[in-house]
Amino acid sequence: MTWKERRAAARREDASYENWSGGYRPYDLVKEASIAFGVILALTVVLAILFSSPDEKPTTVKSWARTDPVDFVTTATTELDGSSGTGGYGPPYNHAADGQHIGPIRLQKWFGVSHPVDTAQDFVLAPLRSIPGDPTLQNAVSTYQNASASQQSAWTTAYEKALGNASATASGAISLKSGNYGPLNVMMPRLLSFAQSGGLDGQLLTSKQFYQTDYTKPLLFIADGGLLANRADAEHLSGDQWGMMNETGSYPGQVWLWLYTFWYQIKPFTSSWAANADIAVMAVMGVLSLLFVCIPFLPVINRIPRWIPVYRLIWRQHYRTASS
Amino acid sequence: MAAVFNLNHHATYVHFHIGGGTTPFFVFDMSLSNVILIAVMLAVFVAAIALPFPHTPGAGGQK
Amino acid sequence: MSVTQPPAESSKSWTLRVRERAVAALPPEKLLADKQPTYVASWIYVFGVLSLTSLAVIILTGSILTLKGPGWWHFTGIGHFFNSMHLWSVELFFFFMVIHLWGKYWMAAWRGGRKRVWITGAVTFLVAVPCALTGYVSQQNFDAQWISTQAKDAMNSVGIGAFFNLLNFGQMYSYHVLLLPVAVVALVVIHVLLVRKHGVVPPFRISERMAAFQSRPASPADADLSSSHEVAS
Repeated sequence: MTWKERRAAARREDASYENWSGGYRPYDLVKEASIAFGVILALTVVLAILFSSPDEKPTTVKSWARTDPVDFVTTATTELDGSSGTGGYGPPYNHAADGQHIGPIRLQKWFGVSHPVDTAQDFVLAPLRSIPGDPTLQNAVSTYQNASASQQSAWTTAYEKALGNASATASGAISLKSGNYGPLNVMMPRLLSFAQSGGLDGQLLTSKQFYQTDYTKPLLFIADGGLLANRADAEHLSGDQWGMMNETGSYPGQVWLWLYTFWYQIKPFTSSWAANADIAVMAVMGVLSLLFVCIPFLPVINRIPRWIPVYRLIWRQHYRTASS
Repeated sequence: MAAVFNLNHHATYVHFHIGGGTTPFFVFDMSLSNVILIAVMLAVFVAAIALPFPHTPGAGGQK
Repeated sequence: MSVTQPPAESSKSWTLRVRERAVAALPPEKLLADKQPTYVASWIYVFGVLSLTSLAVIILTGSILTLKGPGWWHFTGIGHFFNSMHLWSVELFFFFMVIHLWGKYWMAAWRGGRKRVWITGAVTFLVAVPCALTGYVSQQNFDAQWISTQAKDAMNSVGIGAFFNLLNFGQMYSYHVLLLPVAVVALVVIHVLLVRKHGVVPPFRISERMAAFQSRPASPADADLSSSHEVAS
């Protein structure tokens, strides 16, 4: 049989399944839907009574600065010199990097910087400038801003090195070895106390306008630190812990994301492709999703139900009736 | 409103790995709740196709 | 009032054309059928309607949550209860939809001109996933913070993050409450109407009936259908 004849035969066979010329029996569609609705509603109510739902309080900049002041100041310093996660992210936040790519396909770069974030300005300098009645602080900020790039880098590098051995005091301040940190000695402790008062949460959110629903800045800042990640790790929500599927506490999570998170657990997504893992996984899932939609057209895949006859179980009553 | 079963505690995880050392070949680390849900899903599917469906009156009658 | 002549065939109104096409595709007895083929005799067939009614409960509970605003459920017991109902109805929706999908695959339910039924069902699943994601990032709690700051990397890596900002609560809430549910409901409506139009897929023909089939006068088509496979192929 030629390929053309095979295709014609397949089309004829497919057409033969279009209509059913056999028997029918009475069926109450509206009653079935009503009963199903009642059952699902009752099941939902029972599950809600039995298990409720999780609601763990969010991390604020205030709680972060109070719980782990060393981590907060360290993160803030990396925002100042642009070495933080956000500082070196690339689009859509800044031009510090080109972002992820697959070969020549650089979608992250091509879509450009649509949500500009200047980490030094937005997370450190502008908040400090907003604090009134502190001429020493304002002079320190001016000193920093007027210094050369290499001088600024020398200060932040030395400060970050010292922060590696710093500790938190009982009052919530930080204690570190003295050194040549320039105006950072004044700026960073002042930023810490501003954060611990709750002022930085508000300033980051409303810096553009009063009414705000965009949490990009506070979330990027908090996510650059270690506290959010530590909380997530403790609840097995991290990427390398099948975290996409898990949920806080003992609740079931987004179980349907199993295949999305699977790729993040295996090589080469965890090794040689790690720097571009996200675009690689999105590409794989994009292809698989397309194949999923096109299953009726896929050779072999669309024949498996015929070869593995689960259908014999499903329609056994029909086959029994038909053969008798 | 407090739940009958409080799930706001640290979860139990089903964990196994293939290969050892600091970089095992494959790590499976899923919460027990998720594993139970998937197991129940499979069980319900098998039950749905295996359990007998009640015969209704008029079956095979009308055309 | 004078008697008007019916419009000529060539000047049929759009309304008339749409109505006639709709009624031809879905006459009332098909749209709200009161009988079903005798082969619909398995529990696997209830998972479609269970998925549908789960979606209805999601929309109902979600509507209550939107009535009181996104912060309500954090501060009141009744609000938390409706949030719990919304969460569990979502879990049930995916639970039943996946079982429905498995059943339809093993039935090869795309046969007999039903490919669009499969396609609309599969796309519904794929649209429901981001609909759920936008819900998770709209919770305004630690979970929302973590999911949004992590998932943003996937969105940004393919450029979607440039116009779909998971960290923007206002945008995500709008997608979750309006745009994506409308998309899901539209797809489900089309899916269900296609099922009503084409009917539920008939069973595979098997070898006991192949003998009867093969006794018909020989034709090129019969040569194809009497292959060594047990099922008509």
